[in-house]
Amino acid sequence: MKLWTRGLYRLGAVAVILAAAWILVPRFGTESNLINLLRQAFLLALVATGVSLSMLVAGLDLSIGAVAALSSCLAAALIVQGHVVLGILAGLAVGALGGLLNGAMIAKLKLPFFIMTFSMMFIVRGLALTYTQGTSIHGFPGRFTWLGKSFVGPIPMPVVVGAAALGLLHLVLTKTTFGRITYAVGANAEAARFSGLAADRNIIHVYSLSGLLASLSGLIYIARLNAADADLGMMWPLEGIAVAVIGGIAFSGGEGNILGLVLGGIVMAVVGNCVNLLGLPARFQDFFIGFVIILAVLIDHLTQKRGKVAK
Amino acid sequence: MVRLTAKLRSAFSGPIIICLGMIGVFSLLSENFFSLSNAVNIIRQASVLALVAFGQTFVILLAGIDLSVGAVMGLTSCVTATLMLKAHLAPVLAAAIGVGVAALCGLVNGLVHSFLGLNPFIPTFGMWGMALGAALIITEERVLTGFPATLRVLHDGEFLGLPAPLLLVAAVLLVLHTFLKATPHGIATYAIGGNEGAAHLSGIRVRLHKTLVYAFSGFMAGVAGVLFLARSNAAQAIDTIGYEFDSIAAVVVGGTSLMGGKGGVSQTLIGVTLIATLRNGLNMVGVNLYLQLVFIGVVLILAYVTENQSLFHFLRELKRRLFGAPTSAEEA
Repeated sequence: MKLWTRGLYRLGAVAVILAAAWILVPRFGTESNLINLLRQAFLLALVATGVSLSMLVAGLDLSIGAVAALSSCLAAALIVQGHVVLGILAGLAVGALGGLLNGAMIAKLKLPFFIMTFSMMFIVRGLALTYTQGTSIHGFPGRFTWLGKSFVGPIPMPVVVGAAALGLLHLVLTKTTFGRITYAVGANAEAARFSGLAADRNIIHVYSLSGLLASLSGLIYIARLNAADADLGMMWPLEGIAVAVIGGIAFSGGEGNILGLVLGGIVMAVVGNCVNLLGLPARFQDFFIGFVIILAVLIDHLTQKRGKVAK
Repeated sequence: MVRLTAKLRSAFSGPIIICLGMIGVFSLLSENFFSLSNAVNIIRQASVLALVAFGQTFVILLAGIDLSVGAVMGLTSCVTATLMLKAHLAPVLAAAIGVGVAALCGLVNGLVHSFLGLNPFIPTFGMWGMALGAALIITEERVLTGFPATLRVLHDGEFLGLPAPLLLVAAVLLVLHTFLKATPHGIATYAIGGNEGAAHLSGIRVRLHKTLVYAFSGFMAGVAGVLFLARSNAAQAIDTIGYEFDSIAAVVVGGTSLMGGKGGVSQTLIGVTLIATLRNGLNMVGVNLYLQLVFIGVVLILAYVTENQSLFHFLRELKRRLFGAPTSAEEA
C-alpha cells in the first residue's frame, strides 16, 4: 500500500515535469522530439539496470561503462567482418565474464565493492583502449544497425529492446527465487546467510547480470551510432546512479522497483532535452542534472518521512 | 620484543611493501627512476592528490564519502583564474575567494547530508554536477591562461633546498595528524565513524561535527585546486575531474576503512605515494598510456588484498575445500 502511494508520488512528479516542459519549452511536444525523448529515456534506463541490480544487493557497479566499451569493441571487430550473431554473443559473454569477476572477488575475497568495481573500471577501460589503440571501429552491416536504428511502427527499436529487458528483469526480480534472494541479501546479507540463503552465489549472479546488461546497452549504443570506440560510456556509472536514485532504488539495498528506472530515465532525458531545445550550451546540462538529483531525492525523502510519522 | 616485531609488522603493511617492491622493480627497469630529481618530481605530482585525499580521509573516517572534490577543485581553479583575469584581483585574494567557494560547496554538502539525513553519495554527487556545471559556465568551456605568476611559487618554489609542495604537504599532515589523534574534535571524528549512535549518546554534537568535516573536505579540495592551478598555469573546468576517485582510492588503499572509524591521514599519505609512484614509474619505464590503466587497477586490488589479508583467508578456505584439511576451529 505504502509502496503504491510512493510510486504514485513519483509518477505525479514526472507528469508535472513533463507538463511543465511541454508548456514552457517550445518544440518540446513535437512528435519527432517526443520519439527522440522516449529513445533516450529507455537507453538511460537500460544503462541504469546494472547499477540498480548492484544497488539492490547493497553494492555498486562502477565498471559498467568500461565493460560496455570493451565488450562492444570486441563485438564490433567481429561484426565488421560480417559475423553479426557471433559478435553479439561474444560481446555479451565478455560483459558477463567481467561481471562474474567483479562478483567473485566481492563475494569470495570480501573486497569492498567500491575497490573492486573501481579497479575493474581501470583494467577493462585500459584493455579496451589497448585493443583499439584509440581508433574507432565503424561500418557495420545493416543487419546489426537494425538493433539501434530501426522502428517498430512509430516506436524506435532501442525502446522495444529496453522495455523488453526491463519487463523481463522485473519478472525475474519479483517472481523468481533469485529475485527474492536478491532483495533479502540487499536488505540484510547476514540475516540472509543465517537463513540458509546462498548469499555469495546470489551476489556473483547479480554482478554477472550487471555486466551482461552493460554489454547489451553497449551493443545497442554502437548499433545506433554505427561506430564503436573505447571511450564509450565514460559517464555511465554516474548517469546510471542518477537514473536509479530518481527511479527509487535505495542505496542501502533491498529496496526499489526496477520499473522505476523508466521514470528516472524520463526525468534525465527531459533535462538533457530541454537544455538542448532552449538553446543553452551543453555545459548547463551538468548543472541541472546535479540539481535535479538532489531535488528528486529530497522530495522522496520528505514524503517518506511524512509517511512514517503518519503511521 | 614481541611488541617490537608486532609494531614492525604493522608498520610494514601491504601498501608499504608493494610501494617498496614497485620502487625496486622500476629502479631495475629504468635507470632514471631512482634519482633525486625524479623523487622531487613524484613529490610535486603527488602533492595535489595528497591535499584532496587528506580532506577525503576525514569524510571517510565518518563512514561518509565526498564525490564532489574533483569538480570543486576545478571550480576553485576556474574562479581564481577568472578573478585574476577579469577582475584583476591580487592573486592571493583571488585564491582565497576560490578556496572560500570550495569550502562553501563542502558546507552545503554537509548541511544537506547531516541535517536532512540523505546518504552522502547523493548530495556530493549532485554537488559534483553543479560545481562542474558552474565551472564550465564561468569559463565558457575555455582554457584560461595568462594570469600573473605569483601563485606558481606554491608549486615551483623552494625553501632550504626543499620543494615548496613537499613542505606544504608535510605541514598540513603534521597539523591534521595531531588534530585527529590528540584533540577532542579529532577523536570525536573516530567516535562518530565507529558508532554514530554511541557518539551521539556520549554528548558529541554529531550533526554539527559532520557538517564541519564536509566543509573541511571542500576547503582542502579548494587548496588542492589552487595548487593544481599553480602547477598547470592554466584553468579548465574538466582538468581535475578524476581526483574524486583517485582521492578515494588513495585513502582506501592506504588502509582507512570505508566503514569509518579506522585509519588516518598518515595512512593516506602512503596510499597517495603508492599511486603517484606507480603512475610515475610506469611513465618512466615507457608503458603505453592505455596499459597503465590496467596496471593501476591491478595494483589497487593487490594493495587492498594484501592489506586486509583476505587473500590468505580465501586461499586457506580453498585449500580446506580442495584437500579437506581441518578447519582452524577443529585445529583449536
